[in-house]
Amino acid sequence: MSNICLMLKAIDFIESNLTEDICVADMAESVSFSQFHFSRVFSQTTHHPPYDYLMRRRLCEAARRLMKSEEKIIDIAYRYKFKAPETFSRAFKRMYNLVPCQVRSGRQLDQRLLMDRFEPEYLELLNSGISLRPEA
Amino acid sequence: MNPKIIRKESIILAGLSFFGNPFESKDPWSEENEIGLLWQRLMALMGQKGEQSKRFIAREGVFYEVHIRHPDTSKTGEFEVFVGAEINLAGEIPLELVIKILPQTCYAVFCLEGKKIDSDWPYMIYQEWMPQAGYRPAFPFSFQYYDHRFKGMDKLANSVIDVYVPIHKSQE
Repeated sequence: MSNICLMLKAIDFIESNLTEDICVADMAESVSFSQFHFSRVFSQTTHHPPYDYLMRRRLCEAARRLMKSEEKIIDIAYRYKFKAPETFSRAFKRMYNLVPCQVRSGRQLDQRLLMDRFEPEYLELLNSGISLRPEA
Repeated sequence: MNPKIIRKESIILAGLSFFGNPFESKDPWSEENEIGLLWQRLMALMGQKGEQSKRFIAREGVFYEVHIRHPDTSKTGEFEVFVGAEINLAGEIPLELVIKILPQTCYAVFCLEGKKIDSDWPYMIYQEWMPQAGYRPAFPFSFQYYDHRFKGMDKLANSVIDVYVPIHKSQE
């Protein structure tokens, strides 16, 4: 199985467990890799370290819930496995430059900052060697 | 996999350390990841020290790459990488280097050649060989031993390294 296929399998595992207490060791186990090898392959294939992908996806889904539901901010924080509302707020602000209550009270969040699930076509593009940056 | 099982006294190393996810920057497979950069910094420093380094290095041309798991490694994937050399404590150790003391322990020593160096040998050792052989990790580290048999990342096909994994018998 190619690395892209295996990392898509790992992404399936991550996406199915965004609200569970999973860790990088669990992700590695889902594709029968050591943590060292998994981190290396995941970073190469997705251009994100695995823990970074997990946190960004949790924050994206949390942001969508903030915008589209009436769920309490504290409940959203715990749903996505943040240890405390303050931790959630700090991580949210780092990613979106807004705190959760600002989004809840109607401030527009830059939708371009939302990171949706990585799909097969996107991983193929990332690994195709095509660069969007001008070559030197 | 047929490792040698040996017992070693504690090993005192001097070198440089990185903590984090070494594959976060640049190409995870090239010498430009954090591990590669760590080696480049170490070699540059040794070069600058010149004759002084010969006075504190116990074994010229022999280097260690130690991977150390920290309590949060399983959760975040971050770990410590230390690269360095065995030292002679009678020599003056440059301030830029840190000391790492590996404890006295039994090791399973695996000789890796060619493509196996770049394979997922941690999985083969920890998840496959270790449980089958009736061992468990003695300490949360392992190290790769580099000597004249290692020809460079661009000549892996002609290279050999040893991987040392600290072990206990499972019943101990």
